[in-house]
Amino acid sequence: MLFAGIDIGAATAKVVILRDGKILSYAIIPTGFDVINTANEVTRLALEKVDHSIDELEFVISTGYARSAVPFANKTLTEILCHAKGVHLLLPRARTIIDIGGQDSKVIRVGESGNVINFNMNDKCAAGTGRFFEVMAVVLGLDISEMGPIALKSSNPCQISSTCTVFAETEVVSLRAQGRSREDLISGIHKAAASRVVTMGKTVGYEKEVVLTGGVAKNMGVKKFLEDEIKMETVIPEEPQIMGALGAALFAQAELGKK
Amino acid sequence: MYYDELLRLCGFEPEEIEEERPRIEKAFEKLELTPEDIDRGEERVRQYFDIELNGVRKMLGLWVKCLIDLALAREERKKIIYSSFPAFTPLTNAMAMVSEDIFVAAPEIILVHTVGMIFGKLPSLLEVAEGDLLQRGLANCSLLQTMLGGITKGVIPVPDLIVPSGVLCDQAPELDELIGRIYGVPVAYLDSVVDEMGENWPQTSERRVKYLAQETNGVLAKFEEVTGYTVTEDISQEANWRYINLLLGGNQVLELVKNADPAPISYVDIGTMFRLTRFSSTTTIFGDVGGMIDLLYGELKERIGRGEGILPKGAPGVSIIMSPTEPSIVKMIEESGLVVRVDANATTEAESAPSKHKDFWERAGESFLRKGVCYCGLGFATQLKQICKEWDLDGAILNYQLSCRGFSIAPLKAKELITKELGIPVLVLECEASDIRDYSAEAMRTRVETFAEVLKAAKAAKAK
Repeated sequence: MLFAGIDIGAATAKVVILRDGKILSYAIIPTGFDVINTANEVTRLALEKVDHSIDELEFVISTGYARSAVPFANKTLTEILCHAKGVHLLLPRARTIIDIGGQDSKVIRVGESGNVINFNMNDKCAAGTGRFFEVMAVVLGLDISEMGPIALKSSNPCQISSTCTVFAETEVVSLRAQGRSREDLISGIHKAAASRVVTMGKTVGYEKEVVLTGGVAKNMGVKKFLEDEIKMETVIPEEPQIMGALGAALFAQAELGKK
Repeated sequence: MYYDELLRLCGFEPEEIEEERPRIEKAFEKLELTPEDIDRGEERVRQYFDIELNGVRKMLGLWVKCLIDLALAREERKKIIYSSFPAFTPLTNAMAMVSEDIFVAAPEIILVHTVGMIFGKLPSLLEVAEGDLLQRGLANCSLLQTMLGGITKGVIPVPDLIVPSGVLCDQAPELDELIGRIYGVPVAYLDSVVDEMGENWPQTSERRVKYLAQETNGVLAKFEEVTGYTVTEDISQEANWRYINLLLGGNQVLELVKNADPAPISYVDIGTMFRLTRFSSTTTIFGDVGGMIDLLYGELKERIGRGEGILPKGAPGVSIIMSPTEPSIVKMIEESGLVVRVDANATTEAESAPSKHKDFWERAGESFLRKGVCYCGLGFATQLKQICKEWDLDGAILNYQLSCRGFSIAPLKAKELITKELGIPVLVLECEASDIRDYSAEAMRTRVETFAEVLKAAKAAKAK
């Protein structure tokens, strides 16, 4: 039997197809404007890889900000619960998850069974999210994938506002005009974002093992500055972007047991 | 007429509508309530309120009557007294009871519950205030902004006397002074300082109690100067008894639903009733509120007897700091499977100790100053913890109100106290009391739904 978890995030849509508790297939595509079409498309892509179709799915759970818009989902759950579940399958010793997505970031404390104990999530501000890095990459004329490696080259990061993406952009433009190096600027951007996320999670607390998820977890500069801030090592799953979808698929599979 | 159906939903009897029609039309015209606003009001009342219950309809009707009386107070040749939130209700009630020629109100509270909560058009008042004195984005109190917008727009009258209290924060006296200067209105300050030691809550220092009583006497002298009426001790006593009866009635309903499982009614209805009895501060409600409470109490008792509820039995209970302007937030919390049992305005047993003061205003003042929000930041946080304890709650959802001095300080400290000392989870949300242009239930949904799952899991584990 096949189960699917679909995570429609602000920037990307992810799907995980599960069979017998194992990942059979997954896919990631940009969310775009039409979330219904995106949900169909990303699911079709993942199923096509393993020669299956949507009709064969036993139970589907959707998550992410557009979770209610997935027409073929049997149930919706929040991405916080799903991230915890997904991470627990692959890294059962995880007790803290730092998830940085396209437009939000979360710090989640999890228990021994992958249950959420406590969490905090950014409110309306893009500082400390993937969007923050996207804006900065445009300002500096870089591809977003170049940012992390460059951030690691500086030993003197600039001081940049961690409270507002727009103000931070203004600061970066000014610092660039003052002649600060690209490495120092990008390093400062990473430091500011990491500081923002870590401060948000202080009321939740950090306990080992700390796992990074979400698309921004692929950025090694973010990993380094987060570790500096929390003074702990972090672990990144092989594909950090699909943890929410994986968790949703696991919950979908568990639904079978309830029937 | 186009508004008859809305008024019917708000508990107006047909003959009452006919009798009041000239006043209603005049008030709605003054308030610039268009047929589209009335349609929206109808939609919101049906969507957010339990209008199956006549008590709820009557309660909404009382808010509408407060609005009509407020809008027409000048045309009806009343002497108008405004008191800013939080009103020292024994004082405002005493002034209101002196004569039928006097109209006393906390206008922003009435506007928030009617123009905001029912008609969903509070931004029209906030924007006027922003164009006048209070720029957007500078963390101005949205309640005061509402009052200023109402006066500037001409939908509510310029008062004859303003009684701002410095009991909660500095913004009320500052803005009221400004309104006083612009419109030439005398201002009688009910000054205070929020400087108790939080760990002493609810023990109120003699210094503050005596100072508030002295300030109250000053306000009454100014009231006499402006209106020509004297508030005697007999009037004060009678007004206070009426107020106490209102509180007891409201508390009786709250007690009834406190432990009812399943929860028989949404907290949107209960909270709105509760605030009507506590904060509207108008004579409008004196005559009818007792009947409304009795009706609601009876209907709820029957519903509880039938075992009917809005959520399944055993749903986790929470306290909240709520936004009265936007019922969709409480509704969303309830949709996620949580029962909202109480809010930050509740009176705890800890506050109910008898007073040792002999003077009437000292006794009334002490009771007022014991409220956490009038005490100090840590005192308020301690009161929020006490509410969770006395109501035996599973969690708390506390709005961190960015533009409110009192409500922005306490929630984070309360989270720490509640989590550490009671061991129950707390969710802090950023929101606002009245200005909900930057906030929505949808933006909060992910956090609330996750929090609900955490509470359900914790409750299930505890049951095992």
